[in-house]
Amino acid sequence: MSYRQLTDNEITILEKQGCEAENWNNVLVTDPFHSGRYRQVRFSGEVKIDTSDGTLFLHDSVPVDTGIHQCHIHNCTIGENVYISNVGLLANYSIGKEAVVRNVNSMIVNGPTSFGNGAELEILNEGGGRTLNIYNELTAQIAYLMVFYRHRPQMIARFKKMIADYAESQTGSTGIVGDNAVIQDCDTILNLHIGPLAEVSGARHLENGSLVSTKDDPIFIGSDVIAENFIVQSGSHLTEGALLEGVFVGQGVRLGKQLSAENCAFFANSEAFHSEAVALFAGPYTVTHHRSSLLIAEMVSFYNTGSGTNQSNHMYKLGPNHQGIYERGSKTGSFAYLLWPSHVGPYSVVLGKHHKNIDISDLPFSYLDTDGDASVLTPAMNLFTVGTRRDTEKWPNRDKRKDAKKHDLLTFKLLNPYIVEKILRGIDILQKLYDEADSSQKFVQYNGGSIKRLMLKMGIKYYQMAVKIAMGECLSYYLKHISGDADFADIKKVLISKEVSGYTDWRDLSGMIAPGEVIDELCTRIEQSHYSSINEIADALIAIHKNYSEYEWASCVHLMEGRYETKLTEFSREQMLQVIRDWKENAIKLNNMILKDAEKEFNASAKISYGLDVQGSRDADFENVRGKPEENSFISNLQADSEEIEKTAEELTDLIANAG
Amino acid sequence: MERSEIQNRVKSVIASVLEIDESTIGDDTNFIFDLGADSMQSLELVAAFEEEFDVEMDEDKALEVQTVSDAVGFIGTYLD
Repeated sequence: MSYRQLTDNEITILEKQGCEAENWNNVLVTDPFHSGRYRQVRFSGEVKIDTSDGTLFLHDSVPVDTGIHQCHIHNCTIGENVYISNVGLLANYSIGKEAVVRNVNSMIVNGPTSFGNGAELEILNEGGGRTLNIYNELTAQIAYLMVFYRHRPQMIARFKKMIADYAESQTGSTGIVGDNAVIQDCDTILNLHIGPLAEVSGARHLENGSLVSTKDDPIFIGSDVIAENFIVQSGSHLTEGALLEGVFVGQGVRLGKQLSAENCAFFANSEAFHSEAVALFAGPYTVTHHRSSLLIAEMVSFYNTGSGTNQSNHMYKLGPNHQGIYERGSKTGSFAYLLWPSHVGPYSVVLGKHHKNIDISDLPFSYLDTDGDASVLTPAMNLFTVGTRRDTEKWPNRDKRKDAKKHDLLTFKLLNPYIVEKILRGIDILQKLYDEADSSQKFVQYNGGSIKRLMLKMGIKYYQMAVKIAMGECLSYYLKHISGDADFADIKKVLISKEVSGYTDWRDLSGMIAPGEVIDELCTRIEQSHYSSINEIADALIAIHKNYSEYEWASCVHLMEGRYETKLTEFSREQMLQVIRDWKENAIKLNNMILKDAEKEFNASAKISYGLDVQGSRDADFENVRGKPEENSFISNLQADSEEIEKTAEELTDLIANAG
Repeated sequence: MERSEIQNRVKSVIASVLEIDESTIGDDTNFIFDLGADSMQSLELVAAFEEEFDVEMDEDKALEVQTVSDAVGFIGTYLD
């Protein structure tokens, strides 16, 4: 870019138009320079201005000539065809081409700043000890390792060093407004990096942060937002009075409607409105929509918050140092309350108020309800509810991230090896409780909850059903790709060639399911300084995630071999057929149970409050609002799924039975 | 096992699980509509019948059974 000083004639014109400069020699321009486009501007420090001869559209509809009006510009580089108007002070910024900055009280960088990079969040435990340092490219997985792997202090030290290095690389005394960004109708903007195409409209106070907006997935910051010490990744929206202090916002997140959040991280596709969040590790797809909900000192993911949900992390002893976990897929009913520390396992539902410390981490798909003061636990019941199936189907379809680079790595599969391992532990727990209970007992006690003794057996049954489905799903996935004329030895050869080793001890790294062995190896490599930057670790996690299918198959083989007490190489035709038969029978049975649950949505109870004024209009009113079960897409998809399972099972049975 | 014995034991199990007076349970009493059993209690009933009669039932089909007399017939098929 070739800059030159203004000519005397240009300075005369500018002064006639109400412009002034601390020193006109420090105002540099490029050719062609159109003096007429600058009115009532005070220039101070060093200012560089690119050509302005175009037109931009405010609110996509009102044309304005590019240029600068009614501003104080200090130490700025102004890109091509920018529109800057009515800005009290714009200082130390580089403004990208075709950007709009208008009606802003002040927009300043006031010294060296890392724009939120390296900011410390006292997350999960308000008492401290799990500090998360945020940065522009933070992923849910790296955050998880930083927050939860405190038993590996060397690794944490490496993370801190690498994130500090990253923050240093982002540090400067000049802020950036990316190409085509729009900043309008705002009060104070201090030390804020603004990426391309970001729109900031009506924000009240933004300080020490980065809007990592991209052309593919711009960021929107709306009215009355107040945020300090924060980072927002691409595609996210902060709107309507969101109040944030020390917050990380991942990709495709929506925060607004007066949400108040402090020391929190929200990862991919989370939505938080109205509520209050403190020291919250909100894994992917965390949802809280209600004004009266508090999420404090906890980790959740794929989580849905009932209205009035809250928790206590403070027993007025040594401070607010208790913490809790709701594992993936869990949800709370209205006014559900848990006393921290507690740990709720995956896909569980918590209803009512619980005043004991609960640990049901190894009993997935549980219902935790109350009966008087007692916490009543029913394991496995959420396995066959319509809600669980619907959630599992909706998450991948609601991935809002449009950026090619998706930071958070997600495994959506319901019966993945992490869940299956939990189920297997659950079976052992329930069996032991059943064996040790007296037949006269109505309840048995387990980790803060009371389980009806008779429900132990049902829980085991349903867990066993899930294991058979998981095994069959996995085997059928690979068998489907084998040609019909293969002989049995060939079939086994194909299956065995995919075996890597019997991976166990699976982990859920806030959305990414991976074998513990592989994660521990990664941690060791981090400790041994195999990675020189935080982004190299992110790449290593991507590599692990890409291998998920292979690890899952290894886990499935391990499971099948254990169940049949036979090495896969020795599997008989009949054993393989049995896995397929069990899968078909149980998967269809599960679908039927879910169907029955779905049909409740159309029964007489569901119709209460319909047909309000006219006698006999209830059914017609209901059908016109909710439709009929036979027209419901969820129900028809479930029926189609059962037909597909039936068909696939028949084909695979033929494949195995007829293989030479 | 005699049908009458199955019937008596079924009623006794229902009374115990639903915590009601056995005398209020008739042959055609419906677990859901007459006794107010919810889905969780229905499952508990299935588990209780299994334990009482030492059988392993198809709970999918068992849950379709809604009256005492149907339960007696259904359980009878496992005892035959």
